[in-house]
Amino acid sequence: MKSVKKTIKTKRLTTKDSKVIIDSSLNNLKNIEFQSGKQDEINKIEFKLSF
Amino acid sequence: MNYKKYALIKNELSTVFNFVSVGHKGNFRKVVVYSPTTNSNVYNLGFGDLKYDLSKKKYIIDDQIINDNGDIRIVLATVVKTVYEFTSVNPQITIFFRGSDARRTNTYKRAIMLNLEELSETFDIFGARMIDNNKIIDEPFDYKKDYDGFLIKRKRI
Repeated sequence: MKSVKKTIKTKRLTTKDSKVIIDSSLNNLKNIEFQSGKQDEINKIEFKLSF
Repeated sequence: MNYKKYALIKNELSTVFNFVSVGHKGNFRKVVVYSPTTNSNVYNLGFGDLKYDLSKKKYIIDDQIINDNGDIRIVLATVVKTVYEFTSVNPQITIFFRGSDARRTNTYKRAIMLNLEELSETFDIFGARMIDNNKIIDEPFDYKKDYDGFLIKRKRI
């Protein structure tokens, strides 16, 4: 039986100054958890900035 | 940064961004999140791959993954574009960012160093030093020094 190899190519869409699209569904990710747990650490950090 | 960038999708407040990294290992959905900290003038930049955690039964951001997708410059330039977007809406906010490990933090330092002249036209950039286990102080950015993170703020016009 003849084997058929299928190659799917995806075009990389890049530009030097692309438009930014707004999508309100991204609000669902506002409080997303980070795997490293670093976000929890950052919530305890005190920022003592000189400016 | 005069590099190619991926097309961005963001929420109305410019606090959450999404783009797709396309490289030789495949397509990876990246998310950049700006979240408030204990200091109302400082937001944290978190970044990684969006993935579904089967044990937690919810989406999380994997900020420890190494994709080796061959597009690190495009990915970093796209993240920098989110910094421009976020600070154009919130010019008074300082952004804090660091890698999930020392190697990543060092990669960010190299990226700053290589583009310092251009970034400095728009931003003041500082090294962030952790003291007493939970306090961050700022120092003038010096590429010869290692930092615990970085602080970036729009210059006052």
